[in-house]
Amino acid sequence: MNHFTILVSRYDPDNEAAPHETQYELSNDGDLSVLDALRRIRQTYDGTLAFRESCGTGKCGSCAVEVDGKPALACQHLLSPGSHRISPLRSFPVIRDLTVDVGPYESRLKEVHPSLVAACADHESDRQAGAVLRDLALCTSCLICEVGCPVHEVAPERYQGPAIMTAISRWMADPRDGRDRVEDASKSGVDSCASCYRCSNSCSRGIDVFTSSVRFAREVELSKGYSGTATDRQMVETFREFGKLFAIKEAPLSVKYGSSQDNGATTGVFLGCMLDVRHQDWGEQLLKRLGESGMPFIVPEGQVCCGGPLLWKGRVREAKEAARKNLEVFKAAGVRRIVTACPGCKLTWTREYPHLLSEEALQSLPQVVDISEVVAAAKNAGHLSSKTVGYFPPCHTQGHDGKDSDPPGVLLRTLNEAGANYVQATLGECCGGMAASSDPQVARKLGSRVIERAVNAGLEVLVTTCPFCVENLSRAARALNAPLSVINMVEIV
Amino acid sequence: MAVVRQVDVLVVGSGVAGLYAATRCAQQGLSVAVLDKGLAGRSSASYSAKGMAVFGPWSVKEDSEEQHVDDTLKSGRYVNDPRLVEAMVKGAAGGILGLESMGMLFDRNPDTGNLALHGKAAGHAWPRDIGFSDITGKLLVDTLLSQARMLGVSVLSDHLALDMALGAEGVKGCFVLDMDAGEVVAIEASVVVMATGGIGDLYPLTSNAVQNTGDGIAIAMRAGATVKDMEFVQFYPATVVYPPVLRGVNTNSIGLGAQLLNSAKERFMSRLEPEKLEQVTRDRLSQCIYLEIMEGRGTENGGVYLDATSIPREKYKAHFPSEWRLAEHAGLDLGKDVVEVAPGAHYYMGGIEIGPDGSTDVPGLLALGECASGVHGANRLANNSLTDVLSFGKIGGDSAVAVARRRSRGSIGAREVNEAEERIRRRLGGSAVAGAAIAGRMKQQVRDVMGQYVGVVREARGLATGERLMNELSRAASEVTVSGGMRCNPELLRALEVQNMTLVAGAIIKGATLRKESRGSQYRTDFPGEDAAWQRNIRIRYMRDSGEIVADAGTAAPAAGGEKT
Repeated sequence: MNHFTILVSRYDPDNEAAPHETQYELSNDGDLSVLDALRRIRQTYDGTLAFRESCGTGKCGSCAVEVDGKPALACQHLLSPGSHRISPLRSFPVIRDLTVDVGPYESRLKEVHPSLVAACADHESDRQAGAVLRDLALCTSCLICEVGCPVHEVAPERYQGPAIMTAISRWMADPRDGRDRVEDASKSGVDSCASCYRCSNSCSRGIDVFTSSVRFAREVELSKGYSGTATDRQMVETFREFGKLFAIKEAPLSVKYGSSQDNGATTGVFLGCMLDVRHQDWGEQLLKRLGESGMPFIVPEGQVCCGGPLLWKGRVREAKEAARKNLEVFKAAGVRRIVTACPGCKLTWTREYPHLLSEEALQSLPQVVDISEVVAAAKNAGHLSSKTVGYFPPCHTQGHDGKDSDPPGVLLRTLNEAGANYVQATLGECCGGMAASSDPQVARKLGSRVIERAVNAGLEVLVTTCPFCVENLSRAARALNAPLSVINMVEIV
Repeated sequence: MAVVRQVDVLVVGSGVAGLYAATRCAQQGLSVAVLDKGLAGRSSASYSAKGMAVFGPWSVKEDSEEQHVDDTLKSGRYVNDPRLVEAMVKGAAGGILGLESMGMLFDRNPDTGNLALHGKAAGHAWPRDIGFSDITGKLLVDTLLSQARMLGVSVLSDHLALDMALGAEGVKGCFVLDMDAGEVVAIEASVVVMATGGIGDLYPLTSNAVQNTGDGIAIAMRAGATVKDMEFVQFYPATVVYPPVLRGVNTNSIGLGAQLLNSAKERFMSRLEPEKLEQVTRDRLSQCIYLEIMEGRGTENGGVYLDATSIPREKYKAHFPSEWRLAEHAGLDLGKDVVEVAPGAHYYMGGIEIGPDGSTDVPGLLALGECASGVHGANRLANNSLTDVLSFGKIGGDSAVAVARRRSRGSIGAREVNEAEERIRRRLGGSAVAGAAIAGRMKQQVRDVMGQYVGVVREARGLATGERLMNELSRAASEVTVSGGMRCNPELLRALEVQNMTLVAGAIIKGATLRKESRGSQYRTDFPGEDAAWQRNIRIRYMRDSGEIVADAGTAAPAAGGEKT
């Protein structure tokens, strides 16, 4: 028998000044969905508990609420035994209890004309509706992606959010439509999205929202002659010249330590632009730790940028080139498992390479793991003894089940060894790093929010595993003069 | 303060039928309001519909409109109104082009360029199933809702229609509970189009939305409209009962070869139907599963096991991609895991009697889609539901335009509105225990009675018990007062729904009791065969003065001349 303590946000605007939480206790044999819990509470404790539902099977999107601060469909989300909070979708006016007014969303949707504007007299729907259109046709406007979008949350005036982008891209992808949807996308702030994938991970219909709505719109923008911001253009030129996102001034580590021949080791190191070029100290640290672990490895020479940041900006051609080159280099080196210390690189290799490479090429796609999965705890963190330390989960480490916000085990063990005081804190879902090149304002807002929360939580040190997060958060901490240092896990582990 | 609004056409319900009618009216320059008691465009059974049967240029050369009509009449066991069947079949193909011009998507055959035929559903002589992937209904709703909004239709979510306002000349409009504002408003209209869908939520297990409590049928009955074929409730044989997150989903794997097993893991269909096994007609399959469960060989959750593990995964995924994804999301692998199913209330053939133009016997009232009757007779043919709403949405919309142009709009006075609001306020004032889910419990009791006595399998004694219990519930419902206020109060909503449900349920029980035979979806163990003498329709009216339901079992059905059994 499982026990549940459910704290539900209650609010009766006719008789109360503000929402408050009421606690209810339930027991159940087996799984309990949020909707079943709410129905039981209504049946047993208070028949006036207001919440939305319709199909009850995940198809209509009516029942979205926030569960422990994360938006989800009540009918599909299963509660683990223990304590949970259920609250209404945060960005909408509450009518009563958990029922919100989605009118504000409908008004914004109207602005992007979510209806066919016929380009010509032939209205025949596409012979074979493309993959993007098929994906987006599933959207029910449940608004989970909008409520969960960090950029839309901190800067709604700059970015309309993934739900609006989905409505725009659904018509952009429809060959019959003649309206300038690129203009709509641009006005809606498509360039401000931080490519964090949160929308894709949380979509109640399993739509790859980021890829089909945002990235697709960026690709179409480029194909229509838009050239991107100056920083984006520079990134592409640098890639063309150096195969990396940063200009190479001294030898990259993959050249210094690189080998272009199979040395028998099946583990290969993918350094990524940050560790190979820009922050070689982190790269050196990574290689040193691998050496200490006693595991044979190779650093294939000739590796290029993973292609992720290029892909996310819609530059699919360049991303494919990067993917092909990397696979070639790692295959020639006999690598079957890749170790990396950049979540963005890991995400690109595991999630995107299968879409960028041919079926044949995919036969030799190596397994990819993060450094935290292969090293044991270290004794490098002595300087953190008795400091209050927290962890920021990079957006690209998050998957569909939302459990990836926990710090890696090896980090906790290292901090424990060092006598540091680890404190769990909810800091946000995105540092804003990937928005920096096209919307620095958004990047600043997101970064500042994390730092402010970290300081409020009493943290003196913030550890994270993504080099871009370290950069963006360090910048934010400096700008705020915050008494907080941001470090890369690879420095201490 | 009495709030009165005016429109030319008031549509109750935002499924495909209602939205299509609203769009047609708006396209022809009329002012239109569409009400939904839930979120507009997402609270109907239309939303889950997968495909539609339409004869057209894409059909196989052996097929014809006449064949489709014949198949529909045969499935309906010849108690359909042939005029309505003709109107449905002949009106469908013409609507497709219009829908595409509004943005609707259809799968096309890459070689011929014609619409792709998805397959041949049970009861159809030839493949007729067209649509887009398995989300045809959803896309129709999305397309029509966008279109309606673009055309200036006022789309009102969280608005519950209470009753029609009636004058000497017929309908004047509707009294409506605006659940967001917590007030009763009146909407004056020249035409009211009832498009509230079916009655699935009258039963404990249904594939319908929780909103489908037959409100429109009850409202029409209270306004004096005749209802017909009330006894005919179609059950889908394999609706999920377990796991809970998929409860109410209609599984499709039997069509691909899945097997049913009882609690002893025995394939019981080999005992009941050795030749066809699970491939018998849906109504027969529902009866077999229901009886197996009633005889004590069901699972703990009240179902039987559905084993789809023998179907190649890619085949399942290709045919039902969104169902596969849904299950995946719930942590289930339909290729490996076994779900539990039982017959669920799926479609309602009964409802408001209409003519081929959607008109009823109340001047100013039209009825379309599932809340109307006569199209499908005693049993609906697979995939004909979207066909129905596609054709009648258009017919009904054009009909509403004609009626609105010749009828003047009546006037609803402030006193009438205040009285309507008073009728609602009298429901409030709480119960002995603050917050008790009294109305919620009543709704559950209605569902339990229907499930037990008026379900897949019926007989005289059970129906009599059901009638008695339903009368008690009806009385209790008319007197119940609930906790909370007017705004967004589920107890108030339930109290109003239960009044509608008991009225509709009473009519269903009356029809089922009178019809001493089994035909189509009505199966009686005390009258297990089809009786030619009953090839007719039972019409029912609600007498406002006495509060009684009166039945007229009439003469032979107009489809006489069809196949005799």
